[in-house]
Parts: sequence; structure tokens; C-alpha cells
Amino acid sequence: MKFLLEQTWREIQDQLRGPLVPIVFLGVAAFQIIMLTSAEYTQELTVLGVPVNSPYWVYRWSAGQAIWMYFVWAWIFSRPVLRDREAVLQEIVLSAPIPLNMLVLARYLGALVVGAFVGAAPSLGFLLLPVISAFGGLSSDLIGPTPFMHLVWSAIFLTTPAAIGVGALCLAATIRMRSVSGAFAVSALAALLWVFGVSILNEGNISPIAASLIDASSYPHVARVTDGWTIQQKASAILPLDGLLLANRLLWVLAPLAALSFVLVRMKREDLLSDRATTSEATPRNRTNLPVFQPAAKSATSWLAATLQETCWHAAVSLRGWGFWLSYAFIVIVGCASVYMRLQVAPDGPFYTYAHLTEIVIIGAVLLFVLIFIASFTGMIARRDERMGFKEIVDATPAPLGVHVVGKAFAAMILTVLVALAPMVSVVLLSLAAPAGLAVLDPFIFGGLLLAPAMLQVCILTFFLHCFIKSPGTAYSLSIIFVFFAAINHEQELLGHPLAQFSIPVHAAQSELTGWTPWLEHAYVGGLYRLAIVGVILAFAWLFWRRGVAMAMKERLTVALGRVPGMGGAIGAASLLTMVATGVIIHTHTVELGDYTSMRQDNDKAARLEKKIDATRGAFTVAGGKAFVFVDVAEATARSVMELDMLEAPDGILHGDLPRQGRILGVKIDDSDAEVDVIEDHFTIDMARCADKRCSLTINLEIDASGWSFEERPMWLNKTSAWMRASDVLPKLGLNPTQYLRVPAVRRQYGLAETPPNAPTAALAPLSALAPGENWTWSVEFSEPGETTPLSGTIDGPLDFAVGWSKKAVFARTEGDGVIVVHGKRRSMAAETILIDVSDMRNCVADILGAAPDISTIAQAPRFLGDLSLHGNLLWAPEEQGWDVGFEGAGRLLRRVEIARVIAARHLETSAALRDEEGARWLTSGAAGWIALECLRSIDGSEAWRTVLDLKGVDITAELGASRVPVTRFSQAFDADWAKPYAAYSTLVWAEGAGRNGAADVIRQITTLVRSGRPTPAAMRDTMEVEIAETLLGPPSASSIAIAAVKPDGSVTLTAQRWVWRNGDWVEAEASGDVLQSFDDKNRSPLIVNADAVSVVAGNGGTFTLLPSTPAFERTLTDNI
Amino acid sequence: MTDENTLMVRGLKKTYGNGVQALKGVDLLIKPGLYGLLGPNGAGKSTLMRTLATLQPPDSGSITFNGVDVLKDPDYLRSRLGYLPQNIGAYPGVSGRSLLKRIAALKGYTNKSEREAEAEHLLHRVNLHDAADRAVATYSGGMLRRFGIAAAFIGSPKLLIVDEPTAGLDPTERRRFHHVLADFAADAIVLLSTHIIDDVENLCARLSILAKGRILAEGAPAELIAPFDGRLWTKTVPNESQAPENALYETPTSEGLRYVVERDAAPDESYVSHKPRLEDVYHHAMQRIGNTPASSAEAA
Repeated sequence: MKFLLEQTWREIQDQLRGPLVPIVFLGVAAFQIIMLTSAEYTQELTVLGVPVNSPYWVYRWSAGQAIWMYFVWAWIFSRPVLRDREAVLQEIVLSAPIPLNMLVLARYLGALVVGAFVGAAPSLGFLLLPVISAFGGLSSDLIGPTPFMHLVWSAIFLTTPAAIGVGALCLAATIRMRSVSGAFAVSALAALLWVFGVSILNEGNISPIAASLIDASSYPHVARVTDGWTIQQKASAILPLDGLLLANRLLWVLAPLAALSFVLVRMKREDLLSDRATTSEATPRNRTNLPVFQPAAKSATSWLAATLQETCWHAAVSLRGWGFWLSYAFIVIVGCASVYMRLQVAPDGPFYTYAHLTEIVIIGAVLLFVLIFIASFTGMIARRDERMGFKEIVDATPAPLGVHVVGKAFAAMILTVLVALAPMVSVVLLSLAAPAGLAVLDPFIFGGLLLAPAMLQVCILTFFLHCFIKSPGTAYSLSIIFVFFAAINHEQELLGHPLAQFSIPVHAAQSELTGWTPWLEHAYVGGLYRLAIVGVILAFAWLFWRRGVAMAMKERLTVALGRVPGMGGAIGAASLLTMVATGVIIHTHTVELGDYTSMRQDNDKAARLEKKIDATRGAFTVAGGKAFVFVDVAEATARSVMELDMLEAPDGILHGDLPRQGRILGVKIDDSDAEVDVIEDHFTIDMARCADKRCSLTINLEIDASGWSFEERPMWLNKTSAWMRASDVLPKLGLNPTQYLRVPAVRRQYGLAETPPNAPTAALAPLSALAPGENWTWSVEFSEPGETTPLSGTIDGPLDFAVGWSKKAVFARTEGDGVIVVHGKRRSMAAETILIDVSDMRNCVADILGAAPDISTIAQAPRFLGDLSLHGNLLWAPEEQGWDVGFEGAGRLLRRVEIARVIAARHLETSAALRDEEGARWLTSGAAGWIALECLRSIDGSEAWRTVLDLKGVDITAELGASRVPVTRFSQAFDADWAKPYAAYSTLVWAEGAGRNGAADVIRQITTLVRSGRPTPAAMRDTMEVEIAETLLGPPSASSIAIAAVKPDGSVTLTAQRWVWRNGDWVEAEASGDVLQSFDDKNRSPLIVNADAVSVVAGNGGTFTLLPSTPAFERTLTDNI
Repeated sequence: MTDENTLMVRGLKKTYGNGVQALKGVDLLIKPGLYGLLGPNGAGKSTLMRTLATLQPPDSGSITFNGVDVLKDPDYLRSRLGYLPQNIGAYPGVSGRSLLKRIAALKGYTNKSEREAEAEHLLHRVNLHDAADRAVATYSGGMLRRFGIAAAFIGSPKLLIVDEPTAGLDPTERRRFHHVLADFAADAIVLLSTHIIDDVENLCARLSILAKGRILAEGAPAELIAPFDGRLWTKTVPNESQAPENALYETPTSEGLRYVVERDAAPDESYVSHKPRLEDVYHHAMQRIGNTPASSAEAA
């Protein structure tokens, strides 16, 4: 025992020597503090009451950082075996009369102490946050009590078990493979499982159990649990040590320890000796008659050629190794597998593997591996000559410094480009399974033009770290920390500004009808900007290149300064100039003219607007009018005219919002110029002369469409096509209630009143259209000829329309039942099924509501350009919403439901002349959502209905947990992500009780009342039970009903719980015990039964679904059937 | 000083960050031929050789080669330099031929055919041609040494710095290498650092003895040995017996320990005359700077 303790202590001391431990702690702390104090998502949670050092962040950090801690552990747990060998002491140590197993075990324990200690590195950041706050670096409002208990909990149940397990596997692999590569192979595998659990199993909602067990850090489990936490839980809860977490911990501790024990028992001394068994003296030893060779003549040297040769040599050496191609194949296979899981097995799929879709999906799945791969081979190339004596030989050659630096850097960069294309190989392979067949060019444009420049940044930064830092372990650790940061940054946009997009590709999402055109300018300039940064970092690598034996940092700085006037400095200066020039262009086109705004800018703008405008008046009505738009494609501008007839503005003012980058050229009232006041994007027109009469109003606008999109969503106009909705080019009349700041803490910060102004309904904007009224004509003209959807039309409801235009002949048309589908040529089959869906759902909606809007055109819009929506008679269907899903499966069911909801919502909005008042969205989300679900059940059956309901239940839980605005009442939620699915679900519960016809009657009555001027909430109270109306419009309610057991007599026992959301948390509500029994048999009316009255439930025969008896959503429907 | 192939070092000093003074003002003037550098571990030999090979800058002093200030224009020396460090490790994933050709490119052989010809010539010269396509990582210690020698010879350097070049070579290879060095030294400087005093004595026209960062002795072997002629005496005593006072060094033998002392005359009749060799000069120099008598086995 004494020997064990002594050796353990010695191992701890050996491990703590060197810079690795302090660098890991400082690196993690710095990264953590940057992220926790700057990421927009963190800030949004903070203002909701989740401090930056809350348990939510403690648990996520403690488990999540394992992805790169695995690599630190690989280094730490390989030391016990490799340290002696590197010091050429292994024979001395191994020949000593010591028990070998005990020695290795003791060293494992010592490494474990250090590994667990290092694994707790995130604690430093959390402990430093109050200190930073004390020095004014962070507002004290953002920090909660120091989470000592949660840090200890994390160390005991998250970090230490992971260190025990992964450490044991790393050590066992090192013993077996006799090199550090064994340990790093284990860490790479562990990282793979981490990513697979998070990106595939968790995000795809594929298997919570598998996700919980698969990763040694248990991060997928922790992420899923904490994501489902309420605000209150995020701020204070302890992570429950539930069965899944306990199973994970036991699995990842016991199995690796068993593996290590097995290896230790079988280990022999020769296992730990050098692996130089392959070396041999195979050359003739006494050759005396050697052929005579004369030294070669040497012609003039071209150092440029030498640089090229050095580049090719290093690239070739890497490419000859099996490790490179094994890793490459691994990325390709993981890419294919992840796409298969995400698109084929995902509960909201299946989807076809179109390249346009898979190239987006695949990046998220394999990015981390690509980054780790790049960091690994770049480090290997940078340090390839660091073999005993070789670096000195190479450094003493006359080749200028640039040959060494550029040769190696370019070799790493060539491999980086190859690796950036690896995911695209998967995309090409997967495209074989898509209906349109093989796609080759597009994926490689994506990989080469967008991904490669970003990956080159990762490559060159890693290269610089290895040039700058002498210690390989420290440099590799820092590069892996950076890789982790880059991966998180890719997901979370920690550095959100367009110029801070380090290691992130230009955001782009190719669509079939637009190709790459919307992105090309941004991609070229953004790529050049990223390459300029690469040049700057390359210059730093050049300046700090370690030529010769180690020098002190002071000497290195002197040497670096001395190199500034040389080629390295010139490259740096040229790159810096390019960076600045391209940076200015990017800033101009994405920030000034484009759509990028930060959360702070948005908040500042909203606060300024609220302070300056008079939101208490501005009532208006309009009968209709005309809208004309001229689009100058070459100039990337548009001019639009909105003529309003019979406009009434009794308050003497008219509010409105301009389209993005819109500018008012003139306003006329009854042909006379009128005063207009513009604040931000909001305008107010002086309508005093029309206070007591009806006027005509003409608004002339000019729109600059030359900006670039910062997101994957394209701009509406590009050089070869336009996908324009009326809101892109025309003003929206009325006050927009969604523009107000709604987070109380943020409102206080800006000195705003506790609640946003509550404008009179008549002053509010229409819910989705641009102007109310019922008699509109519109027309659009493009400066260049091309294929188009209809360019003019009349509207019987609020003003809204959309058009598509393409200079190139890319449109295909499919027609059926008088409806024309305009789509890409690869999606003819999808067009036919969409026609069927629209026809089915429109007929069903008309059946329930008595009427439904006409649809004359269905247009396949570019990917991410808005939501599935109805603009006039045109159904706008973005490519990712309906065009990728398979002919059968949940994905198509969801599409059918959404089509039905959109049709029903437009009908209700028009019928009710709906303004965006509090509660109005119950009609378009709740009532329309129920109608859509009812249509699905009536056409596709109860099984399909339950499938969609189950998905919605999961969706609502996740959206409520992730809401970035305090969840209060549905009526005040407006466009919050949780509101739409919740309203549909809770309304369905009410409608089940009321019956299909009864519910439809109530909805029609409410519509009529609202049209007559009655506020929606009041209309609801007038037509349904007040308590029901209040529940539908109030805070979200949830239920969990489960069939606990089926008795031999066929009766069942139930459990039923109910919660209401209050102050950021689910609060258990007193439940009546009643549940609603909905039968698949359409002829049987639903029953209200008591959960205790099992005999009532039993023996009914046929399939039924149990739902809450009052409006709420059911968390898990699978146990209700 | 503009003599062809002349290396001149003046007042070279180097102190490391941990306070160790590796060089305390070294002066050398080296002309073509084999020049030996002797010294105990920690004497500063490797520091001196790395400094001369432009791998680390001195704190002060000057180095000129053919009159050119090497510290200001290190590439001048690098283009005329061959350097063989003390230890060479395995280089994974690359054949000897490929690596040698790469080093040739870095030495300015950017013409492909010339580069290949030079590599083939040297692979034959160091007897590695048959193993040229094997991975360097599979080479034995001796093969690695020969590979390093080939790398150092690329471009027929005018200054060849070799640190312990024959360590790891068997006697045949060692003898062969001595021939190569001797041939090479005909019109180039070969600076040879070694612990094997016999090698220096047999091969080098001149040598320096370096210890504690200073040159203790410099000259031709015969010049350095001559002052000891008739002044060295030896005596063998049993192991447990007391050592003679001020012995230069001792050598274990089967009869006991054989001591060498320096005196004007034999201390007593038990001593016999000892013919001076470079090893005695070396130990005498060590004794002058306070090094305790060492066994000749240690010195070797």
C-alpha cells in the first residue's frame, strides 16, 4: 500500500509539472467567461432570471466540455506509460524489482487525480465571475450566488466518473498500442459518441435512452434534461440523479475499469518497452566495391521551387499515411450515417436526400470531426521535423524561413481543403438516393467556396499555435480548446457580428430555383476576408517561427520584430489591408444595407421607437386600393406605390412600418403633399385633414435591395431572380405590437414602463397582411424579362401578395384542379403531392368553416425565405417546408397540417378583419390549428393525428423551455415559438369536448363578433365558457395522463397530473381527475371520465386516446392510448 | 580576415535563461582540415556547435566565415554548412530516399535531376542505398547515424559540424566514416566534437579542449602532448590502497587501479615512466580547472 501511495503521489507531481494544467484552467476559464458574458443566448436567459452562473450552465459546462477534455485526458493518461520511454528510462524502470501492475495502477490513480482536477476546470470560470463582477466587468444583476453545491455535484457525478472511465480506456489503449495514438484514438471515439448523442440522437429526437447512455460525459442526457427545464429550474434546480444518468455513470465507470483490469492482468514488462521491434540492420555491412557516384552539380537555386517542393512533400507524406484516409473515410461515413439518422429515421421525416438539404444537415453533424481532424494533421505537419536531431538538420539548411513556414502551412492548407470537401463526398453519395439523382457540382461549390475558407482559418490558427508554443501537449490542448470553441461558435454564434465569424462559413443555403446566385458576392468577399485573416495569422506564424534551438520569449520577440521588415511582415501587411478592405465591404452590405442586427441593436431600436411614437392613437380603416411595384433588377432597387381608398383616420394620424431598407419618396393625401415623420423603420403620417372625412392616400417608396443576407435566408432580390412578398416592398399600416420589448428586465434597463403600450385595436396592423380592406388590385413589373408567377391580381381581403421571377428558365409547372404549381425541375413529384395536399386540406377547411380562400398558384420559394403562408391567392412554400419530405411519413403529415392551418388562418383573418390585438392569434393559431388537426384526423386517420399530436407535445415542451421571452399568457405571446403549437393543441382539447360542429359554430360566431369590432378575448368569452376562454388565452397548461396498468378484466388504471406555467416554472395545478376519452370510431362521441373511475374506461372496445378535460397540451401521448 | 574557408570565433558568450553560462568567451580560428573539440559533459561543446551552426544566437561575440559576419548573414554560412547533431531519432512515415531528397531541396537542390543524383550519390557513400526505400523509422541506430551523415554531406559543405558522429556505429562503419571525414577535410573545415579522444588524436590536425565554457587548450595534438614528455609517471596499486596525491586520472585494471601522475621525476621506484598521449593532456586540463581525477573509462 505504501508503494501504491508513493507512486500515486509521484505521478501526481510528475503530471502537475509543465504548463498543461494551468493552461487548461486558464483556457477554459477564459473561453467560459467570454461565452457566458457575451453570447446572445446567455444574455437572453439572464434577463429571464437565469444567472450566468446558474445550475443550468454549471451542469451543461461540466458535462459539455468533455468533448475536448477527452483529448486532454488522452495526454494525461498516456503519460504513466510513455513518460519513461520518452526519457529513455523505460528499461531501467522496468528492470527494477517492482510489481508492474501496482506501478501502473498507482500511476493511473495519480493521473486520475490530476485528470479529475483538470476536468473540474469550468469551476474556475464560475468562481471568477463574482470577482469579475466586483471589478465592474459584469453587472451584478447577471450573477447569482456562487453555485458551490452544483459544482461539487458536477465534480462527483459528472466529471470524475468520466475521467475514471475515459482515463482507464486511454491507459489501456496506450499499453496495448505502446504509443499516444492509442489514447487519442480512444478520445476521438469518445468525442464521436458525444457528437452522435447530441447531434443525432438528441436533436433528431431519435432515442432518449440511447442518447443518455452513449456518451461518457453524459452530456446528451444533461442537455436534454436541462433544455426541458423551466426558467425557475434553470436558475436553481439540482440535476436529478435519475435512472438513466445513474446507468450512464455505472456503465462508463465499471466497463472501462474492467477493460483496464483485463489489460493490467495480462500486461508484461515487454509490453511497455519500446516499439522499435521493426528496426533492423538490413544493409550490407562490409561492402568494399561500392559504385562510384560523383557529387551532383548544383544549378541556381529557386527558393520558390523549394517552397513548392516542401509543400508537396509534406502533403504527400500525410496523404500516404493510412491514418489520413481512415479519418477521411470516417468523416464520409459519419456524414452519411448522420444524414440517414436525421433525415430518414427522424420522427418528423423522412426527407429526401437532396444535396441542398443534406449539405446543411451534414455540416452540423460532422463539423467537430472535421475541426479535430484539421487540428490534428496541422499539428503533425507543423511538428513533423521535431524528431531528435532532425529539426536541427532542417533548421541549419540554407532554405529561407519562408520555405519552411509557407511550405508546411500550405501543405496543411491543401489537406484542409481536401477535408473540407469530405462532408461533400457524403452529400454526393447521398444525392444518389434523391429523386433528382446525382448532384456533384453544387456540393463541391459549397465545400470549396463556403466551408474551405472557414476551415483554413482553423488550420492556420492551429498552425500558429504550434509555431508559437514549444510544448506539443500545450499546443495540442489549446488547439483542441479552440476547436471546441469554433464548434460551439458555429452552433451558438457566440461571436455574432459578420466580421467576427472566425471559423464559420458565410451563411448560405442553396435552393433549387436560385442556385448560388444570392450568395455569390457575399461568398467571394467573405471568402477573401477569411483568407486575408489566414494571411495575417500566417504572417504571425512566420514572425514567431522557432528556427534553431529553444530561445527565451524575450529573444523570440526580438527575433520576431527583426523579421517584420521581411517577407513575413509584407505578407502580414498585405493581408491586413485586404482584411480591412473586404471587412468594410462586408460591413456595408450586411450591417448597413443587409439584414444583420445584434440583439443590442434590436433592443436599442425598439426602445427608441417606443419612447418616440404615440402608440395610444392611430385608429384607421381603409376600403381597399392599389399597389404597384417596379423592380429594377440591374440596380437592385424597387419603387412601389400604395394607393389607399376611402381611408378613415379619426385620430388624425396613421402609423406604419417601412419595409427593410425602404425610404419614403413622398406621401400625398387627396393629391396634396402630406407631412410624414420617420423614426427608425416606423412612419407616422399627419392625417389631421382626414380626421372627419374619408381620404385617399398615396405612399411612394424606394427600396434598396443591394444588401447581402447575413443568415441562410436569402434576400428577396438577386441578379437572376426575385422572390418577393408584398411586405418586402410596401409599407405595413398600423401599429405593430410585436416590435415592443417584452422582457421586464430589459424594459427597466431602457427606462420603459413595466408593460408595453396597449394600443386601441383599430390602430393596430392587420395580423399578417399589409393593410386591411377588401378591394385591392396589385401589379408588379420587372425591368428585365423572365419567367414569373402571376404579376397582378385582385384581392377580396387584406392586402397581401407575392410573386416569383426568374431571368433563367428554371421554372417547371404542374397543374391540377385549376391550381398551378411553380417549382424546380427536380421536384415534379413533390409538386403533385403538394397539389393533393392543398386540395384535400382546402376542401376540408371549407367543409368545417363553410368557405376557404381560393388558391390559384403554389410557389416553391427559396429555402428559409419565410414560412409556409398564403399571400393573396398564392401559397408560398419555402423549399425546406414541404419540398424535401417523403411521400409518406410524419413529415408529410406535418406538411398537410400546416397547409390546412394556413388556409384556415387566412380565412379566419379575412372573415374577422383581424388586427394584431392581444388574443387575436388564437383564431389563426388555435382555431386554425385545431381545424388543421381535425382535417388530418378526418382524412388520414387517428393514427396520423396522434403522430402529429405527439410531435407537437414534444415541440411545445422544448419551445417553452427555450423561450427567450418570459412566458406569461398566450394572449400576450404573439409570435413566440411555443404559442402556435400550444394554441392548436389546447384548442383541440376544447374542441374535442365541444364536438366538431359545435366548435366550428363557436369559431364562426367569434369571427363575426370580432369583425363587428368586439376584441377577440371578449368575443371568446361571449361564445364559450368564460373559464375555458380564460384557459385558452391564459398561461400555458400541461397535463400528463398515463394508462398505468390494464387489469385482467379489461379495465385500466390511470394517472393524471396537470401543471400551469407561473413565473417561469411549471406549478402543479389541482386536477379534477377528469380526462377526456376520444375514440377513433368517428361515430362515438368523446367522454369525460374520471381517472379513478376505471370501470368507465374499461370495456369500451376500440382504440381511444385520453386527453386532458380542459385546455392544455399533453406532454407524452404515447402512454395515453 | 578573408582567407578561403576560415572560421573565426571571437569572444563568444552564451548564458541560458536558467542562469547557466554555457560559453564564457570562446576564441577559435579554424582552417580547412579536421578540427577536434574535446570536453566533458556540460563543457559547452553542443552550445558552441549549435551556435556555429546558426541554430542559436550568442549573447555577444562574433563569428565570421571567410570574413563574412555569420551573425548578420546566417544564410551565407548555412549555404556552406553541413550539420550532424549528436542524436538522431526515428522519422515516421517517410523513406530514407524521400527524406534525403527533401533535405537536398532545402539545401538548394531545386532541380529535380540534380537533387536525385545528389541523394543517390550520398546514399551509396554512406552505404544506405539498399535501405533507401525503407521508412526511416525502421532504421537501426547505426543506420540513422549514417543517414544523418548523408544529410550533412549534401551539397559538399565547406564547413562540416559533426557532434559525436561515430556514436552508435560499429567498428567497421566507424573506420569507414573516418576515411570519409578525412577525405572531406581536404578542402573543407570539419569540426568534430567527440568524447573519443583517440579519434581526435588520430584524425584531427588541431583541436581545442573546452570546459566550463572556456577553451583550456588549443593546438595540434603533438604540440599539446610535447610539454608532457618525460613528466608523466604511472603506478598500479590494489583497489583498497590510498590513491597517490594529485593523480591526473586512474584506470581500473585487473591488478587494481593504475594511476598517472605528473612530476618532474618519478615519485618513487614503484612508478614507471608513462608515454604522454592526448588523453593525459585532456585530464591535465581538467585538473587545472578543478575537476577531480576521473577514471579514463569515464573520460572516454
